[in-house]
Order: sequence, then structure tokens, then C-alpha cells
Amino acid sequence: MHRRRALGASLAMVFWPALAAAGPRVAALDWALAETLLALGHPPIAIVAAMDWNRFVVEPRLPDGVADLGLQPGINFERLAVLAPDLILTSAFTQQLEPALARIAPVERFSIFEPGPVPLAQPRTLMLQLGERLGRRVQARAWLEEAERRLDDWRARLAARPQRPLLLVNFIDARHVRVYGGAGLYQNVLDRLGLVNAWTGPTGYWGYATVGIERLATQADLQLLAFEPLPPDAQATLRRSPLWTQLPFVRAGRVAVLPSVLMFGAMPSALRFARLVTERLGA
Amino acid sequence: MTAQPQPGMVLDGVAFEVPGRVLLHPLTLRLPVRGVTGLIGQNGSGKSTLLRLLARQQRPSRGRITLDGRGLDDWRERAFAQRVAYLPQQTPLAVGLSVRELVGLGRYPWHGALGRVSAADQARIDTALALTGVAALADRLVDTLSGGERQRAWLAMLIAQDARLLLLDEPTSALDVAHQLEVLAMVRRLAEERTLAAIVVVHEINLAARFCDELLALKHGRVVARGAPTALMTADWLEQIFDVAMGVLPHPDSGRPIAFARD
Amino acid sequence: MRASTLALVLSATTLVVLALLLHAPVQDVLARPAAAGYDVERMVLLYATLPRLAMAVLCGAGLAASGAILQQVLRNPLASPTTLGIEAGARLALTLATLLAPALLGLGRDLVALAGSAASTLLVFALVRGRGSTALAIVLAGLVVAMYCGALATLLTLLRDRVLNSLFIWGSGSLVQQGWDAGLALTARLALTAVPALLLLRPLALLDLADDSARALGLSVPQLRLGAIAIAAALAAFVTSATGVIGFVGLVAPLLARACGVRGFGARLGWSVVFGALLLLLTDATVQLLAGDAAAFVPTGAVTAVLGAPLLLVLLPRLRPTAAPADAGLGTAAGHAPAPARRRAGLALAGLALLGLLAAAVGRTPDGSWILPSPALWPVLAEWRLPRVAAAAAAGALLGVAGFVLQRLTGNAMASPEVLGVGAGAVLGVGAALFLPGALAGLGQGVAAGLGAVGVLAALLAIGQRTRFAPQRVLLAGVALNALIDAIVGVLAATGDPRAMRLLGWMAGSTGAITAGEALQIAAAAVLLLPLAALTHRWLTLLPLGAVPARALGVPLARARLTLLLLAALMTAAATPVLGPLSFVGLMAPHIVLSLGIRQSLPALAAAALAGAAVVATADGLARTIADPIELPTGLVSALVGTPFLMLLLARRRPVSSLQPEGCPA
Repeated sequence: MHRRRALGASLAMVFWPALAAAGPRVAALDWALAETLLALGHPPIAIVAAMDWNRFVVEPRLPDGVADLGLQPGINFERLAVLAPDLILTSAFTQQLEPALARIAPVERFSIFEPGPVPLAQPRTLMLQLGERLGRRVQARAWLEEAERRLDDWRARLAARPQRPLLLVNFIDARHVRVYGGAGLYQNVLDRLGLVNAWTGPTGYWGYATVGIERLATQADLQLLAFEPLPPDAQATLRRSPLWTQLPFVRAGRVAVLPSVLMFGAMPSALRFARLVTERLGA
Repeated sequence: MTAQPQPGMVLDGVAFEVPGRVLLHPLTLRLPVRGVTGLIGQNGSGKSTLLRLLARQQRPSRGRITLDGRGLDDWRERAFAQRVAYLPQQTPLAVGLSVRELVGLGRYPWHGALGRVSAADQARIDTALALTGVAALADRLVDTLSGGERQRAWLAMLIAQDARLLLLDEPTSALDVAHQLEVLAMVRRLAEERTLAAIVVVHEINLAARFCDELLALKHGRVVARGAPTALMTADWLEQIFDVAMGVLPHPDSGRPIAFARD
Repeated sequence: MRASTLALVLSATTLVVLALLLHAPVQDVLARPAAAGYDVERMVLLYATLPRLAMAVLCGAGLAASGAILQQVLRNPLASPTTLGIEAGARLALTLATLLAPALLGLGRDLVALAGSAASTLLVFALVRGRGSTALAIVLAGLVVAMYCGALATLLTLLRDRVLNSLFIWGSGSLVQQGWDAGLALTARLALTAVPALLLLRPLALLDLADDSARALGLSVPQLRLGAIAIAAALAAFVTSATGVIGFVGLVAPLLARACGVRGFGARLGWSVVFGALLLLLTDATVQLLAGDAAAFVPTGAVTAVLGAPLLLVLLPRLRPTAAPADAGLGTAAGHAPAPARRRAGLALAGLALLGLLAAAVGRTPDGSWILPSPALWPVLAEWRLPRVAAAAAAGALLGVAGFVLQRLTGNAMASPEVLGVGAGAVLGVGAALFLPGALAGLGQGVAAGLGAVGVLAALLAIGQRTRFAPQRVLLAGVALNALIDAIVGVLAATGDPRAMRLLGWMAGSTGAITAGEALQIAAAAVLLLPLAALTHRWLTLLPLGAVPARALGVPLARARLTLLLLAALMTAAATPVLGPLSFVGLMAPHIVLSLGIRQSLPALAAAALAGAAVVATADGLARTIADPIELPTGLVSALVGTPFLMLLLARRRPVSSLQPEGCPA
């Protein structure tokens, strides 16, 4: 506990420098872009769904005064037009808004997620691109170097002791989980940390599959990590379910809970996830 | 078919069947082009079926019906409706229509979906309202009328339609005695004054005999008798038509024959 | 096909699929002694596969019984637990509980869902109280409540999708089990409900007669109706609370029985239950077999609809019109229509229009305070607000008239473009553009939506051709198509794919990004199509009289129906890209007009256009301002704004005197 807090504090000092106001006024329509901007010390003036940020992204904290543009399916164009940003950043998720956004300010789209052979290659590229674009190349490189150092450190610590294969899930209700694997951000981080994913079944393009809990009995000796938030009725129902209670990892008590991490996140979320997993596995 | 076009309705071997049942056996006859023809017979004898076939509401299973020498299928919808008007046994409630609006619908065959409603149309509507005695109800909603009033409103619509052949399926079913007489007298008067033909299903044999020029008796889907009322108003014929022992007496005032059931 | 033959075919198919599904695991389990560890095969067979199959049988039977009772009681082949709002109530309750009081879910998800179903059913009863509880009144009230709950739940889901993604699965009806508890609980509940259901068997059979005749036989029709609906609602609510929405079974199983020519209510109920159980079992076994080790998550409820909808479409031509259909539906609002009523109607419409204008004018500043337009804001308003308001109003007018035309055409008060599935077709088009790579992806959403709408229209016409466009059949076909498309969207949403959220966002009907050019396009569509619709007003007066008088007066039935259907479809296709398929303006506007006492076709058509435009303009203003900074989707807010109004009118309206018979078979 003590060490965890210390780790968090040091990260905060290194990674979230004081917010600077120089440069173009940017509206970011994707959280992954917004968190990368925050990491670069160039906070956006407006983002989507600001009111949910602290619940799902958690860190980096969103500074005060960032305007909320509402939700992605129908953002508040009138508001954005009044704010008149210099630049609007979009991702594939907000692609369909681009023609409308272009009527307000120049729009640039960045790729957040792309399956590839090198773990975390895409979020890293994203940070470099954004650093380049906003004249913060130095900050981007420094941030990434520090991140790599941290990741190497955590990987070494984890390797120091035998680690079980991991199952990463979100409980959707008491009967279903979303299990992560494939090419998503979480899998990228597991690969980077040298951890093994116990889920070898198919996952969709976005790196997860929705399955009934009985499918989780993939191997006898694994560790389950469930992301928050947990559905309120899940625990009570699961306690009565033979399918769940007799799962080997449940009987052995190898079920742990992780705070929420942005699944479609960029480098900051990847780092947050890596830190949380490392802590949870006691390394 | 003969080369000479025949005026009026002509049936040639017309039959109607539903799976497992023959509602109308092959029937060949020619309907009069003027005067009132009464369709009589027991329930289920095929009266309404015949009327629906004539009104083109249903197609015969076999045979052919012609109107003025042209097969019914060859008539365009509105042209047919200008020529033939049909009042079904059950009239819909006509929810939300005023009497005048309902009667106005009778002009549809003449002005169609887009045509202008002319002063002549309005005049015919007024006449129809007056003829049927519903002029006072013109602004009432049809669904608020009593059964008799409603029936007369529908008759008014038929009159406004200005067709030369009227097919009426029990137009007196919802009426009290006074109105029954009134309506049938009106049909008769129309037939005479405008030289129309009317084919009317009438349940009550005495009413039929009194107002019709000719009676057509159906039984089990076949025509069993056809002739002037005086010819058919005999105990033998009526017994055969209705399967009930009947008697016939002269009317105390007019001397016309009156039929009654003997049992 | 006879009912017994169909049952045999279904059973045989089910047995084959079950054998394929079960023989390997059963052999496996029998061959091995109970192992000490977690024997996956064994655990899955005993605690997942078998209870799941049992659950399928239970749910299928329960829903089919519910549907059969409702169709009997309401004399409407479109009636089903879904129509009555039972599932929508449950879904809304779960949504609210998840958002506001998660602790409630800890007490049991099924209890929350049950409470929701009970509440929505009670609301339906409250709305029809004092109105003689005619079948039509109940169907309408159910539809309105379902609309309201559905719109609210969808809105909340859109706003809080990260919290609520579990509800997608629930909404799609997953039968996945992890033990026998749920099945046993459901068995007990269904058995409890079966007792009163059996007691009502004979009185309900009398409802084959008209209300009057049934009453003459000593039946208290309203009480019987409410009692029977309560039972049907309980059946559906129990199933829904256990597994989620598997609505299509409740609609299609009784229709199957009907299509097989089963006569008499008792027999129909019996066969419905058999068909329902078999259908769901077959579907679920097939899903398990095909999904199998791929572990792909496929909600059975959605698949049921995917299979059931085409089945219904095939059966449609064989389906005889119901004895006494609950259509007509164009019940009078006011007995007489004297001048004061006309003035009141005019005032009400003017008030609505004013409300729309006011709503279009107000805005919010970034700090949240309310403002009226000022010259400084003008460039932003002209660029962003004017087009959206214009497009929203035009779309509202188009939908209002489309609904009016469809209600007149079908003589069914439940008819609307939404119900007809044209809007859903547009959704399918957009979905295809989003999900299918290649050719379609290049198309704009508007084009894709148009193609989808035209596709559904073509299907409707093809079905209509065989039934001479008999309104009941076309309507049923629309319902089937809707269910199919709902199901596909449900499956997509359940995958949690971000593109599904985009599709859902599109469905909600956001007007924020509409350009002046787009606004001009839809305004042009309105200017073109509304006068065309007005030209058909004589048909619109004649057709509600029924096929027989209309034909007798020389209306070319097939051509008139085709024309009106085409018009309605075009208007819907033009409006849906703006408002999405969920606004229900097409249903509401004609009812608002009706309750204002405007009867004649031409004024009513104009009033429907005005009411539709005003409701949507008001909704657009609210959507823009009320949840600032979040902009709500105008389409959904229209449903939320319009439905309470509709409920008010419904509750106030006098009983519809009686129902109009359809007349002779076409």
C-alpha cells in the first residue's frame, strides 16, 4: 500500500507537468487523444463526455475549465462553434462527425488502435505524432523514454517470480463476462510485461469477446483479474452458482479486482494498466 | 356470347364455391334492366352471395357475368360504380363522418380522387338527403345515429351515387315497420321515376310481394322460382321456397295476397 | 399445414439438433467417472447446457401463452407482451436501477425487472380506466407505454453506455444459465400463474364473439379483459425478468397456431404453448450448436427473431384475418363536432406551433444559463441551429402525415411508419454501411438509409402483392421486418462493438450536424410529398369504411393502397435520416389530431403535418438545452415529449363506442 502510493506520486511528478497554455487551442473528440494531450502538457480546451472522465479514465486527472462537448453520437456543435478552437482532433470513432466539424475548424484524424506485431507501437506513434504536431517533440520523447524505463522495470520485477496466466474480464452481469485478448490495449500491455493471457479463444477486431462464465475454465491454474465497475448483483448470484464456485481459480481464491482502465486508451492508459497489474500481482 | 350486346346484367353459368361447399350452383339468367327485383329465400340460400358477385365484390368460381355486354372484369372501377351501386348487409360505422360527408362519398365515382366537386354534385347530394328524409341529420356524425337513421343515410349515399342498377342487401333489416315501408316505397319510386333497376334482398315475404315487380327465389344455392309476386304468392310455392307450411289470404283492405306461416 | 404436422416437424428437427448438440458431452460424461477437479465438460453439461435448454422450453411456453392470451383478449394479431409494454417496463426499471440505485440490483435483477413490468402494466390499466377497457384502448395504451419506456431506456443507455452495456445483452434475451436455480424459480412462478389462466379458459373463449354478444352471455367483458391481461403480463414479466427480452416468440407462436387453422381458444392456447416451447428450444439448441466452441456470444432472443420473422412472412398469406379485428381504431374523439370544438382544435394547434417556435429560439451559454438569440450569436445560429430546426420540423411533418396516411389506409390505430418497419430498414442500411467492408462502406449514411428503406418497402410490396395489399397483412409483415431488424441491431449492440454505439446513436436521431444543404433537401421532400399526400384525401376518407364500400364506390383498391403505401414509405425514408426510426411521431401526430376532434381527411392531414412539425421542433429545442452540455438526440426526445401528451389525451378520451368490422374478406 505504502509503496503503491509512492509509485503513484513519483509518476505524477514525472508525467503530468504543470499545464501549459501555449500553442493552438485544441478540441479532442476522443479520450485517448485527450489523455495523450494531457501527458504532453498541452491540455485540450474541450473534450467529449468530460463528466465521465474521472470515473473511467481516472488519470491523468482532467484539469478544471475543460469544456464538455457532450457525447460522441451527437456532440454539441453549437457549443463547439462558440468556443471556436484552432484545431479539432478526431479518431476513427468520431470519423463520421468530420464533415460537420470541418465547418468549425481544421480537423485532423489520428489512428489510436491498430493491430500490429510490436506491442504498444500505435499508442507510442500517436504520442510522437501529437508531440510533433503541437511542437512538443521533446516532451513526447522524454515521456516515452520514462514510460519504457518503467515498463522494463515492472517486467523485470514480474519476471522475478513465476506468474500464472491471466484472465482479464469485465463482468457484464452475473452470467456474462467480456474477456480480453487478441490485439487490444490490454493484450499489448501483457505482451510488453511478459505476462501470459489465459484466454486463447477468439476475440473480435477490438480485442475482446463476450462469453458466459463457464467458458472461463480454460486452464486449471490461472489468475482472474476483473475490472471495476462490478455489477451490483453479480457477486451474490455468483456465490450460488456451481459453475462459478467450482471453477478451480475461484476455489483457490485467485480472483482480484482492478480499477477501471480505458480500454480504447493510448500510452497513459497503457502505463496505468501496467502499473495496476504489476501492483496487483504483488511484484 | 352473342354478338349483340345485351343491356343489363347477364349471368352465364355463374357458380361460387368455397373449399368444401357450393354456395351458388351454376346459374344462367338475365336480370331486368328496370323495376324492382326481390331476392327471397331462407338464410344461407345464396342471396347475399349472388348480390356480392353482381356487385363485383367477389369473383365467380366459374361462369361469366356481363354488364351491358362487357365482362365485369373489363369495367374500370369508377365506370362500374357509376353504373352499379351496392349496399352491403352490414354497413360500417363510418366513424368520424357526418351524414352529409357520407352521402357526398356517393359522388366519388363521378368526380374521382382529384376531380372538382361541382354544384351539380352538391345538388344531387341535397336531393338524396331530402329523398331519404335525413336532411335534418345532415351535420350529425353517422356513428351517433340510430340503426334506422344510419341505414337511411347509407341509402342516401347510394342514391347520390346515381347508378342505374342498385344492389341492396337487406336495406330494411335495421328499420321499424314504418321505415321499412318508407324505404321500400322509396326504392320503388326511384325505380319508376328514374327508370332504374334495383335488386333487393328482402327477408319479409309480404314486403317483397308488395314492392317488387318480380321475385327471384333461391334455395340451397339454386334459383327455384322466378316470377311476378302474384304468381309466387301461393301456398305451394312458398312452402317449397321456405320449407315451412304456409298459407295465403287476401289482404282485408287491398285484396293483395298475404302470406303467413301455418305452424 | 395442420398444427400437429407442424409440431411434428418442429419436434423432429429439434431432436436432431439436440442429438448433435448433446451426444458428445453426454458420452464424454458417461464414459468418465466424476472427476475430482473441475471437469469442464461435465460442469457445462450439468449446470449450463441442460438448464439452458430447460429454460428455453419454459420461456418459450410462457411467452407463447402470454401472447396467445393477449391476442385473444385484445382481438389483435399484433398484440404480444412486447406490444403491451411489459418488456419495455422491465428494461426501463433495470436501466434506472443500474444508474440510480445499483443496490436494488443486489436484491435481485429479476425482482427489479418484475417491478418494472408490473409498473408499466399498471400504468396501462390506469390509462384505460373508466374507458370501458375496450381492446383498442388497451392496445393503444400499451403501445404508448412501451414507446415511452423504450425511448427513455434507450436514451439513458446512450448517455451512460459505459455503465449500461450489460443491458444490451439483457435486452437481446440471453438464455445462458449457470445452475438450476433460475429455472426452478421460473417454473414455480409460471405454475402459479397457470392456475388462474386455466380458470379463465372458457370465459376467454367467449371473446371470439363481439363484446356485446359476450356481455349478453353474462360476461363482464372489461373485468375479464383486465384479469386476463394481468395474467398474460405476469407470464411475460416472469420470463422477461429471468432472461431478458425474447419477445418475438410471444407474437409468432400464437400466429403460427392461427395460421395452422387451429380453432377455438383452448386449442389455440395449447398449440401456441407447444409451438413456443419448440421454437425457442430449437433456436437455442441451434445457437448452442453453431456458436459452440467458438464461444461467440449470440443472444438467443435476438436469433429467435431472426428465424421467426421470415417464418412469419412466409405464413402471412395463409393467415386469415381475425374474426373481429381490433382495427378501425379511428375512434371518434368527440361525438359531435360543433364550432367551439373546431376553434379549440385551432387554438391547440396554434399553441403547439408556438411552443415549437419558442423551443427553437432558446439556447444555453457555456456556463449553463438560458439565452434568447442575439445578433452576436447570429452567425453560429444560422450555421448550426436554423438548419437543424428546419430539418426537424420538416421531418416531423413528413412522419406525421405518413402516420396519418397509414392509419387511414390500414384502419389500424397502431399503424405508423415506425411500426411498418420502413424506418428500421433505414437502420439496417446504415448498419450495413458501418459493418460491411467494401462497397457499402463508401456510401454516405443518408444513401445507405435510403437504400435500406427502399429495400424494406420492396419486401412489403412483394408481400402485399400476394395479399392484394390487405392492410392487416402488410402491417404484420412490417412488424415481422421490424423484429428482424431489431434483432440484428440487438446482436450488434450486444457485441459491444463501438460501431454498434454509432449505429445506436444514429437511430436515436441526432440533428446537431445537419447542414443547410441537407435541411433544404428534406424541406424539398416535404414540399413535394405533402401536397401529393393531400391529393389522396378522398381515398383517405373512403378507405377507412372498409374494402367493400370502397370497392362499391369505385376506388381502385390495389392501386390506391399501393400508391398510399409508396407515399408513406417515401415520406418515412426522407424523414428517418434526420430523426431516426424511434421518434414515434408518425404514431403520435395522427392521434393528437384525432383527439382534437379534427375528422375530415384534408384538415386532419394538414393538422397531422403541423402537429408532427411542432412536436419535433419542441423536442429539438429541449434536446439541445435540457441536459446541457450534453445534446440529446432529437428523435428520442420527440418520443419522450410526445408520449406523455398522448397519454394525457388517451386517458381523457371517451370510450370508443364499438369497433368497426372489417367487412367481407377481400
